[in-house]
Amino acid sequence: MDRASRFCRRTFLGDAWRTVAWGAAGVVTLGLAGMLRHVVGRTIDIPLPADLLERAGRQGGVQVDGIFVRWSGDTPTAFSLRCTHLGCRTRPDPASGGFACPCHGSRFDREGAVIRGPAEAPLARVPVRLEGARWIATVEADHG
Amino acid sequence: MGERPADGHRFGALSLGFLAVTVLSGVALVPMYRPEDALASVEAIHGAIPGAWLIRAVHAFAALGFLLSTVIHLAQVVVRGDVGRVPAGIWWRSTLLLPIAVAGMLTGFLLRGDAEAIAAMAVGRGVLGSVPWIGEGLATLLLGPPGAGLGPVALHHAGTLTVLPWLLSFEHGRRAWPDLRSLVTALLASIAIAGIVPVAPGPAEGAAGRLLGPWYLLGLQGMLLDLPVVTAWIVPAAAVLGVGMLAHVRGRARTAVMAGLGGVAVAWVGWTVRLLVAGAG
Repeated sequence: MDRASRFCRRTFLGDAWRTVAWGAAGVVTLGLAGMLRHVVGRTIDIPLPADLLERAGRQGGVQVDGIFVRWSGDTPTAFSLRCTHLGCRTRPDPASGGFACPCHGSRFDREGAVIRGPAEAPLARVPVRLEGARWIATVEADHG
Repeated sequence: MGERPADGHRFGALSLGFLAVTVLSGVALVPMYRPEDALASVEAIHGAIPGAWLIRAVHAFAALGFLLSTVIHLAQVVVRGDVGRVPAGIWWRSTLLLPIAVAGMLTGFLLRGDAEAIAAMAVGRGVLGSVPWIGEGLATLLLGPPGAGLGPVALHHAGTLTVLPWLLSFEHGRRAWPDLRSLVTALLASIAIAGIVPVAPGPAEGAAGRLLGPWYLLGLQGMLLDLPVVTAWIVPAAAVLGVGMLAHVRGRARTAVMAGLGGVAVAWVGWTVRLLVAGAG
């Protein structure tokens, strides 16, 4: 069989059909996987015990389970330590007093605002609510 | 074990030998590994279970050997002008062996469960999520839904990323098992390197400073210091497409594609140096 006959129209159409079929199967699979994310995607409650909040007040803020908690007036506030670039967990940066991402070098100040990229958005605020006598922060399951 | 491979395909045959050693050592590791308690089980492999460290090291270096021998085989085929000898469909599917080998090694890195692996998981999810329209589904399919732990990754590592390369290697080389010489060579090479280069999990919490991904992704990590996130999948995808296109182009067009692939390789090295010199932390 010579080269020209191997690339005949029928062969091309057959290959094209198989490619389209596999591509369609892939898109359906990815669509189903994307739906799965919404089915199992959930939030997590992080209790903020009194001793932790007392320490946050004394030290100007504390880390717990991937969030940074501090007092703002008479209410505790929190933001996620998940870097807004690609999701690595930021760490305290002694040099600036803020936070640094160990993956790509983004830096944030103590308020969570961006000092240096590649991150463009500030660290995400985490809602904190009072349930009875307990303060509770609510984060996404993949908050970091 | 079948016929001996032709001399011109020695590295192709060797890649199947490395794949076999990778799979067999991986099977031996299965009873020792728990994805829900990943780091503790890896630490047990390196301490509490006698000899298990050697199996894990052989597994890691055999996987590396699979990737390297596949790349060398590909380079030999291209340099010798043998690309046209493989039907285009098989060439394209064989091209997928490269990203599949990298994915296998990367998921193995994630399964360590240490600080570097956790960061790499987050970055991987972010990069996959940046693919338009299908990114969220792609990330969920490959890494599991957020908060799912390492279970889905372990399943892909042991299942998908074992079956696929074996099937593609079989289609490419018409051989399900390596010849004895390739198998023994791959096994001895993996054991030798495992005895020289230590393989150990990192700390649960990263030390001060930067976290680095696996060596073969440092170029990508360096690139992301300066370039948008989408380049992290566009560049590798373009490289794979470039290799696939070699089956269809001739003359100057092939030279241009090869120059592009060379450019990607040089940029990859450059970004690695940029990362290591500048530091990320």
